[in-house]
Amino acid sequence: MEQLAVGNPVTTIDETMLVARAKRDRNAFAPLYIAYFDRVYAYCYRRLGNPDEAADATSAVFSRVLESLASCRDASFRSWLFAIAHNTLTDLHRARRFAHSLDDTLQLRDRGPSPEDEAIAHETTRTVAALLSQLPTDQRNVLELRLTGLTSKEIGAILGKQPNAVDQAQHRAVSRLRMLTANPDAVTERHR
Amino acid sequence: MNPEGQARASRLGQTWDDLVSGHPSSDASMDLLSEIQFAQEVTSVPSPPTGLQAKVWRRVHGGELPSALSAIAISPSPNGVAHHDIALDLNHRTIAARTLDLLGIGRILAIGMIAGFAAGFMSGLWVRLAMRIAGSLTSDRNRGLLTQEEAAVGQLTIGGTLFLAMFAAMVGIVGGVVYLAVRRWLPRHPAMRAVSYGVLLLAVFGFIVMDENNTDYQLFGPTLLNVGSFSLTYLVFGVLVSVLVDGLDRRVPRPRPLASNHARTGAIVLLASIAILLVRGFGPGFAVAGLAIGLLLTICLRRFSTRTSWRLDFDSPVFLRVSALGLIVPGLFGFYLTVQGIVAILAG
Repeated sequence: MEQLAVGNPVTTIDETMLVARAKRDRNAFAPLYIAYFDRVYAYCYRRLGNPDEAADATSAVFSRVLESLASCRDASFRSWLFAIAHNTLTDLHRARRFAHSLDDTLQLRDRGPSPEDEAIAHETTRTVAALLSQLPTDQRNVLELRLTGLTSKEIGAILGKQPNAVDQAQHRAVSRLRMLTANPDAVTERHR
Repeated sequence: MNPEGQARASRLGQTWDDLVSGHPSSDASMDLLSEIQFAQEVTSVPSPPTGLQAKVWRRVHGGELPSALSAIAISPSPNGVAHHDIALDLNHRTIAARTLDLLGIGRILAIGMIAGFAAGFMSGLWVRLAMRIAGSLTSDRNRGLLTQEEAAVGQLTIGGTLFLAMFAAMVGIVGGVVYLAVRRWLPRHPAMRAVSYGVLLLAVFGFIVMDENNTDYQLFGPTLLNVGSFSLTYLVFGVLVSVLVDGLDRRVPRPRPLASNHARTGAIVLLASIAILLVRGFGPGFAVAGLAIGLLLTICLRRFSTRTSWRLDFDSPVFLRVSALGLIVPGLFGFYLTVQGIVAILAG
C-alpha cells in the first residue's frame, strides 16, 4: 500500500504563512513551488500524455500562479493552484484542437496515419493518458484532480460540483478503469 | 446510480479524503483502499526528469532555485524547532487568515506561559528544598533566627512552601515567554538547548537571587553550597521550561482555518452568550446598546484594518536584528551583575 500515502507536504497553516510571504516577495514562493512541482507535473502528464508537453504545461501553470498570486484569497492554496492548472490545461487543449482543425481546413495534414503512427498509437493505448481518455470528461476531470491529492470538496469547488457528485463520478471512474484494464481490447476498440 | 452504489461512492470519497488529509481512518475498508490503490497504480506517471524543476523555475521566475528550500519551508529557524511561523500582515488578507495569525500567536504565547507557570512552580519547590538543605546544615545556634525574607530558619510550613512555589510560578510565566523569544538562537539538540537556556538564565538574571547584600548566604549553611544550590534553580527552571515548551509545541495542534459555516455558528453563539450576559446583568436596553456599539466597533476595525498597511513579520531580518540587540545588551549587563554578585558572596 505504498502508493496510498498521500499526505500533503505543506500543512494548511504553513501554506497560509508561505502564501502571505510569497505575495510580498517572489523568492518566498520557492518552498511552495518545490512542494507542489511534482504534483502539478504529474497532473499535466496525465492530461497530456507526453513528458515534453507536460514540462511546458507545468511551466505555464506556475507562470500563471506567480502572476496571479496576489489574487489568491482561498483558504486552501492547493485548490487554488489546481484550479489554475485545470484552467491552463483546458486552454491548452482548446488551442490544440483549434490548431488541428486549422490544419484540417487548410489540408496541411496528411489524414492517413503512417505505419509508425499506427505503431505509436497502439503503444500509447497502454499509456495512462490513453487509459484516462477512455473515461467521460467529467469522470476524467474528477479522477485527475483526485490523484493530485485534493479532497472531494476541493475538487467540487474547482469543477463547480457538489462533493457527492464528485464522489459518484470518482466511483464510476474507478469502476470503469477496472473494466478497461480487465479488457484491453475494449480499450483499443473504444480508443479508435 | 442505485442507493447502494451511492453509499459506496460516498464511502470511497470519504476514505480517499481521509488519506489525502493524512489521517486515514483505522476502520477503512480494505476493499475501498484497494480500489484507491488500483486507481493510483494504473494512472501512475514517471517522476519529472532531473533538473526540470530548476529549469522551469528559471523560466517562470528568472532566478536560480535555492537548494534545500523544503526544509526551510517547514522550519525556517537555524535549530529547526523555533520557527516563529507567524507573519501578521493585515494587507490584502482575508479576515480568516488574520484570525489564523492571531490564533497562532495566542497558541504559542499560551504554551510559553503555561510551561513557564508549571516550570516556575516546580523550581519554587526546588528553592524550598535548597532552603531546607541550608537550614539543616546551619549550626544549632542559628535555628529559629529570621532570614532577610523573615522566614524562621529550620521551620518549613506548607503555607510558606506553597506561597514560594506560586510566587516562582508567576515569575516563571515571564521565563516561559522569554524562552519563546530566545529559543531560535539556542542549540539544536534538545538536551543542549534545555541546559543552555538554564545557563543563560543564570548568567543574565542570576543577580536577582545572587544578591551580594544578602547575608543569609554566609550565615546559614556553607556559602559555596548555598550559591551552588540556588544557582541550580535557574538550571532546573531552564531545563523544565525548555522541555515543556518544546513538548507542548509538538503536541498542541496548530490552528486551522474554520469552515465559514463553523465560523458563522461560532459568531452567533458568542453574540448570543454576550447578549444573555448583558440582559441578565444590566437589562435589555443596555444589552441592545452594548451589542450595537460592539457591532459598530467591529465594522470600524474591519474597515481600518483593510485600509491600513500594518505588517509585523517576526521572521523579518530587521525584527530579528532588533530583537537580538534587545536581548544582548541587557543580557550582558545582567551577566556583569550576576558575576559581581557571586564573587561578592563568595568573598564574604
